[in-house]
Formats: sequence, C-alpha cells, structure tokens
Amino acid sequence: MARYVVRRLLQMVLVLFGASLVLFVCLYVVPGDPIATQQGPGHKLDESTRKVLERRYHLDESLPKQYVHYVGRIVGGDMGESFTFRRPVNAILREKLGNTVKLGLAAIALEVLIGVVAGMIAAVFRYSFLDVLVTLSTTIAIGFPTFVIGLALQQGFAIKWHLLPLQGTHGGLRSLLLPALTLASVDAALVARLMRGSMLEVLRADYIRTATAKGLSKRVVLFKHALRNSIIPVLTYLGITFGSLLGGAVITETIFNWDGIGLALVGAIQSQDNPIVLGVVTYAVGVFVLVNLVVDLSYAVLDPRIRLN
Amino acid sequence: MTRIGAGNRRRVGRPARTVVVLAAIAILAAACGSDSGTSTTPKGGTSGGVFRIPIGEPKAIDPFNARDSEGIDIARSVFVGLVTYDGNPALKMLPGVAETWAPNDACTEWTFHLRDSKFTNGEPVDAESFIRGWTRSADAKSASQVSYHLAGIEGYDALHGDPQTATTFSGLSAPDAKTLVVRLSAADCEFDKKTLVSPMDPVPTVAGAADNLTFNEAPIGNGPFMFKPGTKWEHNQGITLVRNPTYFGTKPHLDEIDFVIFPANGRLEAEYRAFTAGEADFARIPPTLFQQAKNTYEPQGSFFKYEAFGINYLVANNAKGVMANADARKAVSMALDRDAIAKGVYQGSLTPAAAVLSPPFGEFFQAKVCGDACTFDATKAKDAAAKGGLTPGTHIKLLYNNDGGHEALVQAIQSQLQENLGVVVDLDGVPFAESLAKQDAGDYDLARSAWTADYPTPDATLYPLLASASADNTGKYSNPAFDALVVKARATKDAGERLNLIKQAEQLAIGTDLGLIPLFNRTQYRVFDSKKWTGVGLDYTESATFATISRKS
Repeated sequence: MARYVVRRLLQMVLVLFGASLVLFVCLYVVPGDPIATQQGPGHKLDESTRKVLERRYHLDESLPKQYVHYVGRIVGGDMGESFTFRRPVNAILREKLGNTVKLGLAAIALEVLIGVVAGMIAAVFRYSFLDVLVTLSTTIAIGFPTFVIGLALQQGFAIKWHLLPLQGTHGGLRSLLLPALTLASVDAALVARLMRGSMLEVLRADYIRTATAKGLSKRVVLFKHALRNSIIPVLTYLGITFGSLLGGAVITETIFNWDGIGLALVGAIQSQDNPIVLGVVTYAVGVFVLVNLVVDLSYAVLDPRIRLN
Repeated sequence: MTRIGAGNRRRVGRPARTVVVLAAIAILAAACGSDSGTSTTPKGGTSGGVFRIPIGEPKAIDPFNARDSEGIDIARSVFVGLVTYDGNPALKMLPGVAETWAPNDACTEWTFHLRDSKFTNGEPVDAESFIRGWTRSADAKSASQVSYHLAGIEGYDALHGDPQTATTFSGLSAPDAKTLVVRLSAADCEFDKKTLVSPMDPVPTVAGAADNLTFNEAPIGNGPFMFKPGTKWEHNQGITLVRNPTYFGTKPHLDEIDFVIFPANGRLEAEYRAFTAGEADFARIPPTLFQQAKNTYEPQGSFFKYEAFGINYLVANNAKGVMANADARKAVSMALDRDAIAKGVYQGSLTPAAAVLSPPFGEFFQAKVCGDACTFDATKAKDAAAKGGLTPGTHIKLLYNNDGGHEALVQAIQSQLQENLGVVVDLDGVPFAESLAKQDAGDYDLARSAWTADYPTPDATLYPLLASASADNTGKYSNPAFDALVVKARATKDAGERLNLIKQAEQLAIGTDLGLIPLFNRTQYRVFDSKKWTGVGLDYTESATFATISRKS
C-alpha cells in the first residue's frame, strides 16, 4: 500500500509539472498586456511605473526565464503576487478556499443524502410509484442546467419569500443552503440513478439471496450487505465530483456570488491576473489528483478483494 | 481625468471622494468650530445608524494607489487633503486641512496654510505629513498607478522616473509646520483643485513605505471616518468605518458605514439584487434594469439622478484615415440620431450631448457649442459627407471594447451611419486594453469612449482629451491655437478671463474642428432605502455623500 501511495504521489508531481507548463504557455505566450489591463480605464500607465511593475513580476525577462521563476516559486509553495491586488496569491486563495470547501462539503453531503436515499428507495421498491417519482425527478434535475435551477431557487426563496439570502457568503449557514442545493441538484440525481442501478444489480446477487435465506432481517441485508457493495461505483463518482467541487464550482459560485476559488478564477481570467489564474488551476489540478488517490485507496477499505499492490 | 471603459457605468480609476460631505463639514466647521465627539443634528434626520453599502473588492485603499471607485470610497472617507469641494457650480474649492491658500502671481508656486488637526493615532497633520504622502505616491519604487496627479510638481520626473534620480520631492517644502509650499514645473492657477485626489492626502509617519502591508490594510487617516478600532480590511468580506471623533470638521451623522464586499463578477446586478432583497441600503442600477428600477423606486422617493462631470463620445482618428477630415467628422455626428439611441439603447437614462463639457461644469457649460454638427439631420449629413470625402461605400472602422456591454450602442451607430450616409461600418470589438492599444496605433476610424473629469475643472477634460501633448488624446486631435488657449487658461489667475479662454478653446475644438464626437452626457442613477435614510446623494466623484446621510427621524 505504502509503495502504491508513493508511486501515485510521484505521478502527481509529474502531472502538476506538465499542467504548469501547459498553463504557463497558455497564459504567457498568448498575446495580451496584463500590466496595461491592470491599469484599466483611466489615465494610461506611465512608462516608469510600467517598467517597475514589469521588473517586479519578471515580465521583462525571456519566457524560459519567467517559467523558471514560476516553477521555482511553485516548488517553494509560493504562487506569486496578484497583478491587480499586489497581495500574495496564497493569501488570496486561502481566503477563498474556505468558502469553496464549505460549499463543496455541503453539496457532497446533500448529494449523498438525497442521491443515495432516493436511489435505494427506487431500487428496493422497484416499479412502484416511488421508483417512478425518483426516475422522473432525476430526469428533470439532470435536464435542467445548473444556472436555471440556481436562478429559480433565488427567485423563490430569496426574492419572493425572503426566506434565505439571495447571494454572498455573509449569511453563514443560511447563505450556504441555496448554492449547495443548486450545486448538488444535478449530481444528486445522477447519484440516485447510479445507486438505483447498482443496488438492483447487487440485490440480484447470490450472496444477498444467501443472506436472506440464512434468516437475516431485511434491514441487515439491505444496509450491511447490499448497501456496502452497491456503493462502490457511487463512491467513485462522488470522489471525482468532490475533486471538481474543491477546484471551484464556477457557475454556481457566479450565480450566488459565492466568493470561492471558481469565482476568483473567472475574475482573474477577465483581468489577466495571471498569477491568480495559475494559482487556482495548479491548486485545482493538485486537489483533483489527490482526491482520486484517496478514492482509489478507499476501494481497498470497502472491498477486501481489491489489493492495491 | 478618467476614461470610462469596461462596462460598468460608475467611474473607475478616479480620485476624490466624500467631498460634498467634507465641504459641508468645512463650512460648518469654520462657522462653529465644532470639535465634539458626536455629530450635529441633521436636518430632517437623526444621528446614528449603520449604512450598508455594497462594493467590490477594492484594488487598493491606501491613498498612494487608491484608484478604483471602491478604493476611493474608502480612502476619501478616511483621509482629507488640503481642500474640499461641495459640488458648487462655481467649482470653488473650500477649506480642508488648509485654511487658506494662494498661488504666486505666475501661478508657479502655491502656499497652503494649515489648520491644527490630527490623525486618528494622535499624530499632528502638518506640512511634513503632506510632503511624506506626496513623496510616497510619486516615488518610482511605489509604482503607484495614479501618481500622474503629481506630475505637475517640480521634481516629479527625478523622483518618479526610471531610472530614479532623486528620493525627495524637490518642489515641496515646509518653511514651518503649518505651511506647505509647492513649486510647479509649469504655471497652473487651478492646482488647488488637483490636491483633492487621494495620492495627495497626508499620511502619518507609521505609513512607512508604499508596500507596508499593515498600513495598506488599515490606513490611519484624518478624515471624517476611521477604521473601526481593532478591525482592518477583511478581504473579500467587508470594511467597517466609524465616525472619527477627532475629525476637525463637523462630525458625520452616521455611526458606522458597512462596506459589504461582493465578488467583482456581475457586481452591478449583485448590488442591485442585494438592495431589492433588503440586504443593502444603497445600490447602483444595472442598465438593463433601469426602467424597472425607476418605475419601482421613483414613486417611493428611493431613486435619484446625478449629472456627472463626464461624457460618452466617439474618438475620431484625426491623424489618418477617413475621419481626419473635419467635414467627415461632422457628417458622422449629424447622421446620428442621439435621441433615438438614448431611448432605444439606454431606456431614456442618458441625454444627448452637444458639448464636451457637460452641464455640471456650470458657467463653463456651452449647450450649443457643437452647433448644427451635433443635431441629427440626414440631409445635412450627406452634404457634409460629400464635402468630407465620405462617399457611399466608404468603410469606417468602429472600434469598441467588447467587455463592457456596448454592443447595442455600436450596433445602433453602425445602423444609423449606414442608413444615413451609405457608408459601410465595420465593427471591431476587442478587450479594453487592446482597444486603447489600437487607438494608439491608429488602427481605427471611430472608437467608443467615455471620460469623467478627475477634478472639477474643465481643464481635466479639455486638456487630456484634446491637447496635442496629452497621452490620453488618442484621437490625436491637434490644433496649436487650441493648445495655446488651454495653456494660457492654466496660467490665467483671473477666473472671468479663464472662463473666456476655456469657452474659446471648446468652441475651437468642438464647434469648429469637432475633434471628437460628443454622444451623451454622463448621468448616474442610484437607489437607496428612503424609509430609513435621508441626505443621500452623490458627490462629484460619484460616490455616496456619506457625511450628509442621516437616519430619517
């Protein structure tokens, strides 16, 4: 197991290195004038200030040299300084990361709660009214784009009924509810479908029949044997989703002005604040790879037949 | 002087802030010398209360580099400079830290006599505080993006240049603690107005260098408000200011201002939605929701209009191409039905402009300076086009920034010019920075633009947009007679004479040459909670007048 983990971590370094190169090329080689963009509308930036800023961010050096600076900084854990705010990118990301993690965790919790329960109910009561209801509602949830669901929730709960805050991160848990529900809606539906299919398959398996035959209660059969075995594909899906969520949910964060990593990325791209873009994407790639590793490791825990070495 | 670009219709990158407030304060202070820790009783209102205002994450709030509207909101609440301005139509400066001030006969040297006042840390605000602040703003190492405000002071080039050849500001001196003497590199009889801006605020010794993070995040100032003790700028969350009990002027009525920070994307919509949901006391209005906001909030007295010191206009490429001819520019101008565009594109929120200096410039405003050239007349337009070489089928490249929601405007212009002149208008939409670069390179015929004056003086519009030596004159309009008039006006002490010179200059650049094509006067609208607040307005920087706001009694 330990060797496997080490190998995967080394692979992760390679992935990050490759991603950094692609990103750097995308951001710094394409045309654009990030320093002029920072000046924005108003008086033009004078040459003296431009030169000072270019020196400060190594923009006056050749591209390979700039890349070396960039990689050197990343290795040391330093993401550089934002062109716009002149503050360390690490500090900016730290401020926003908490919000993204909060939203990601809440969304995953809702996905598990709604998706797994609905999927189980649909499987256990196959072809019943409840099954049809789950199938129908998941079809609708999957069919609607996230932003439509988000806007509809805002219209109802915030604007019409004034029950929950419209947007922002200032209202604590109340602020979290709508974006988490929006973010969870599509994935919860997918989880429910996955769970239903997986559980139906497991319920047909011999060991379930055996467990029932030896007199175990329905609850034990369902929760101890069936659930544990049918949740593996769901877990894979949830793991990948969680990795994406931690990398920032761009659409949901934008609709709800949820001040997380995704929203920071959008803003930074628009203002050509390359250090923030690089920081967010490097972070997102790292998290994605790590979460996948954790998911792979969890297989071994859930299913003793899987050996990672 | 500020060019407005990327979409949102509030001025960006411009200085000076709670000034209306400060002006009122200054007058009252002069009258009664109030120095108590509480505010006076406002007319029709009561003191106290927390005013919640949504803003975006400021780029900087330290006065040396406060440059976007939110940064200026904070900086101008926390600091006050030598003079203040209350929006009076005579564009007259009122006392700030300076009680009296005057230039020498040639307007090349200004002497400011300061009052006794303190920063909130107890340190006196003296001439050294100003020299410290101005030097910090101009120092090349600070890389201030708004240091240009100080460029007229002697010694600026040595301090700000690259390479830097001085570390002190040779044009500034303090004969005694209460006297600041400023030597200019060229005559400027309106220099006092330029000291309104944030980079010209005083700073205490603890400010240190420009990259002092402690000061950057919780600046210690001398203005009507101060950071709530024990708090600092909570990035991406908010900033809380409270009344400054040691402020030398009349204390503001509000106990506290809560600046609630919203993420930048879609901020205008977010602000407005926060207001409609009762989460904010004040908001800007997204252009698409203008009519809805007006219908809903005007009857409640929660909607107001402010005529700003700015215009929306078309830059015309005077240097080369089809727009280099004045008749061609006039043809374009006469072919545009501004009223129809104002109604169709802006839901009636803007008024057509026929001058480069907008109505708030008071006695400088010349409503008809553009003459027939800014009045829609398709027949006259065709005649002028024939004279100016704009034959049917001529291609006109119309440049605009595509990150600011200007598509409807440029499409309307395209359609009207094609219909009324028979020309072919090629739209070229690019990001804002690229649009400026293309204008510099002359790669356009017409370009959508907007401008708001940094200071309440016509010079802050005429000079940057139309003087030959100005880097912001992207249309490259050049008329030595105009240049001479503007320079002469700067060096003219007599206000009446200066008024005449400015009027002549605008007559020449717009009336005769039409160096740029005025489109609309800049007008701002805001909504606020009129059930709770009174005294809400905008100052000349288009910021809320925090010092006049009070709770409704």
